[in-house]
Amino acid sequence: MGFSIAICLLFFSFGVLTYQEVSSLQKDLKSSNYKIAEQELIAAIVSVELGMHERIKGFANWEEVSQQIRNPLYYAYWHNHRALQTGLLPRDILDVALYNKAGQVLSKLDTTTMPMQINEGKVSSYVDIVGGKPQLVIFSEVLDEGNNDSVIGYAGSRINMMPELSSAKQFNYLDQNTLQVMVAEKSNIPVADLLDFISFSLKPNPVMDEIMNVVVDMLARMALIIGVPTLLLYPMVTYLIARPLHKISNHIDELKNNTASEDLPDLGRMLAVTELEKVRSSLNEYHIKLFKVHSSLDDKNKELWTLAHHDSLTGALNRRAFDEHWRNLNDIFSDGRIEICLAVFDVNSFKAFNDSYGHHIGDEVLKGISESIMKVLRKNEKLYRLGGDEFACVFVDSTKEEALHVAERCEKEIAAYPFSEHGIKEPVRVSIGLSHASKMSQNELSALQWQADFAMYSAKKPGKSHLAFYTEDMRTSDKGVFSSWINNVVYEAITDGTGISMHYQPIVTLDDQRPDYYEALIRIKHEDKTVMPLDIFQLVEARRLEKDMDMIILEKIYTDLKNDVLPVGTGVSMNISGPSIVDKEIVAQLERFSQFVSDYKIVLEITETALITQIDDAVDNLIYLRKLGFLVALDDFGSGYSSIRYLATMPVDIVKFDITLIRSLGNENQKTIVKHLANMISETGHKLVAEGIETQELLAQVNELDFVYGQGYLFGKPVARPKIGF
Amino acid sequence: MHGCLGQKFRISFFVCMILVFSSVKAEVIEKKLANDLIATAEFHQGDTGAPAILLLHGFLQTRESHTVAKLYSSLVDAGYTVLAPTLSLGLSHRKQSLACEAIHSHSMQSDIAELDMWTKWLSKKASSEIILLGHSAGSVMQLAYLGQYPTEHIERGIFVSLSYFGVAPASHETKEDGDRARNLIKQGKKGLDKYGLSYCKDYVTTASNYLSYYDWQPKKILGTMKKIHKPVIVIIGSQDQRISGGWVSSMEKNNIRIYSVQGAGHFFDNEYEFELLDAVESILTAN
Repeated sequence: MGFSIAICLLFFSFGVLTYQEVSSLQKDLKSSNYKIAEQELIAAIVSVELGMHERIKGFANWEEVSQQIRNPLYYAYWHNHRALQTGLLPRDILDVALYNKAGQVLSKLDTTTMPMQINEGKVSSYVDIVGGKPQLVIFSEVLDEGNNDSVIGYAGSRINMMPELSSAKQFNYLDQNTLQVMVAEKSNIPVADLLDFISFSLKPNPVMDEIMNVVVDMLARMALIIGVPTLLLYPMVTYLIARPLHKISNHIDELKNNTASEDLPDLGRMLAVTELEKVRSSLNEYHIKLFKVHSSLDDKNKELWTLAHHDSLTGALNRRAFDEHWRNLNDIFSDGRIEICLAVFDVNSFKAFNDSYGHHIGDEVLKGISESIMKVLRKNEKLYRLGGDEFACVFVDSTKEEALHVAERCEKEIAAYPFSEHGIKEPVRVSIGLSHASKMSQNELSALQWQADFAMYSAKKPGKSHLAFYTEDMRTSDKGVFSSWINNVVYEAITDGTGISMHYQPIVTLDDQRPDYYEALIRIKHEDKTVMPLDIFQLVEARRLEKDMDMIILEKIYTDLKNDVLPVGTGVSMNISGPSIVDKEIVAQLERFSQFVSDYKIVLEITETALITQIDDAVDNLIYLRKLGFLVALDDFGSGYSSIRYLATMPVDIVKFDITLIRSLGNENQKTIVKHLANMISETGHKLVAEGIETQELLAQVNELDFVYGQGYLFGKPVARPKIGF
Repeated sequence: MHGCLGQKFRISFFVCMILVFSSVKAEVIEKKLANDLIATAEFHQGDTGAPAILLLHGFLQTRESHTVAKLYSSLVDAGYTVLAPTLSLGLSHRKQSLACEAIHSHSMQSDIAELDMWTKWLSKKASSEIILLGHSAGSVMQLAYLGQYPTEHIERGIFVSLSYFGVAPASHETKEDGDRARNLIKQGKKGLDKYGLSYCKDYVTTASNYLSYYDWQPKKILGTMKKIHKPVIVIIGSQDQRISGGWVSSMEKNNIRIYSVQGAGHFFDNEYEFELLDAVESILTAN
């Protein structure tokens, strides 16, 4: 509709503008023509006057005129029968009169319309308007026939001007037929002023009229060509396009509001345009497909969420779900009006189950524990597997007593679980640590986790109940697995590196006992105390903070290398945890050390366990790093399974024999085993490191074997900056 | 007598004369009449000893009328003293022939009075007697003049296409006009009226003026001719439609000398103008 109106308005504006332009042109032309017509009329009046004057002059020269002036005896007869009949005067003559030299008419005829007296020597033409018609009264001197300088009288005539004007041929613009005098009676009008009393119209201008006709005709045709189809097009477009589109638009709206259902809204009868009907059909099909995809996505999302938030082994929620739940708790319970309890479950001696019965039995243990706890939990209480053999449960809006009661029931249910069906002969027990916050604040909530941990480790202690509630006494006691200050120090160190410093213990070549490279060992200083690696890594592993800690350590070592803390030509050995060696960020961090490989021996120490856990990813990364110039050392060899098969296939350059193996060299049997083991590994191309050499006697025994390097207090304790030239 | 002899010779003569005297200039003579009108005449002083000729135009005409103008120029060229007046007919300095419908205040008397004035003036200018040469009604006027005025200074008259008033061929006057005019005079009415006269159908004049012309009918003309005792000769075109066939014979019966030009009409126009000129020349040179 708007388009039609716009087209019509556009055309109308164009039409009006064009018509106005042409009208204006016509008006200007008419004005110009009117002026020309006036000039024509003036010229015609002058021409008539001159013509009449010539005629009256000719008349005055007529001999009979002179005859009458000289002898006016028969003037009346001559006037009535002769003067007016002669062809010397114009055909429109109305009257004629002769005057003597004194200007007196020759005879005062009753019927004359001429003046009786004229001014002697001053005769001029004038116009009388009589009955609405102009009459030219004109005079001419009558000269002596023998002396043209001598005036013997005057001849005057009254002539009807209008026929003379009308018959004038010089009118090209003025329409003679429209000449009209505007007053009825008026006397003695100077000829020059006659124009003021005459009105007229212009002749039709055929060119302008034709232009106007063409313009009007053109506009009419354009109106017909543009207007009619536009007006006809509107209902057609409305019927064929606009209305169907409107219907489809409404249909889309209904589909939008109907996403929850596969049922399609009714559009009514089919649309007039096939293409639009196809659009509608496509929309319906699309809606159905979209609905199915949406449903499928919902299912997949739910499945993905379930996978992402559940532990596939036990069916309990995983660490991710726990963290999200914990963040929600922070948001929901920030006002602190709700009590909350956290219970942490840890399987006692779970490693022993794995070592003794294998991992699959260990898995069954975890499943049984999970099943038992979930059986006890009330509605809205969820079980989370935080990792390994550690589980947690949050009791919202529960008192200490209620949480304790549930925990006790869990302990009993676990105790009643038939683990023996899996061949387990020992009783399976869990240690349960509980923490409680009655008036929560942000800090208390964050402390709840380590408090529950604290309680749980407390519960693990021999002679203690396997269920413990965190108390302030536990915190003040140094006998806890982790003192609260160690917790805080380690957390702070991981968060911003506070207190961390690296110490370097030499690993010497046994031939000359000169440091070949140094093992980097972390120290965290807090006030006057130092937290040693054993305490640090127990907590780090318990909290799954290996990657964060390794990032901090690597940064420190990198800075030390930059600052030439280590003598050039030696090297540094860095302990990399199992989770870190398969982490891309750690690998990226390690890549930075490739710049030092020309000056330093860069050794990555990996524990046997770390390699076994995710062996494929770990091996790929180690191969990559070896190509960059790194050496790989297998740490603590002999402390675990010490699979020779793995060692043969792993990308390892150096094997560090666990200190327990080195210290066992005093026993001949074990010495023999270690000797052959070292010999075998050495023959496969690996260089061996003997740890824990603290005495000359032990050194002498090590030297008997195929060790290349040695490490221990005998060669040097870890120091912040090793001395050059040892 | 028929003037057909030596025609070719005479034509050549006149042509030569025209070539020789074409540079001769005429003089216009103006004379004030009693009524203060100015009458004009064209005058040429001819050779010494040559006769003086007063050449008069026809009714209401001027000396510029074709026949008269040709005669004037040929006579001038031939060395004659010629005076060719234009009768005023009541108009001063009249130059044009007077329309029939004009008010005719003139009469035969006023005409011959002017003629008398001119003959006398010519008589004074010329040393010889005067020969009157008239055309048509001009001949009638000259004849009337001869009949009414003392004309010792007039030698003779040569009247070309001598016509007459009254009832005549191609004339509009009727007996009724004449009677009406006479009645009006008897009634003492002196006003203007319309009459038929000569070639004028509506001739506006007074009754007495009308009769002054109307009465010059053949009988009066022939009688005047007898009375004047002056030699006259009449040149007549054989095809003159203004006169009846009996008019020539009447003149011949009254011993009037007739010079007839075969084929010529009243005005001797076209090739007959030379015939007329030859005739006049031959008549002038005959005596």
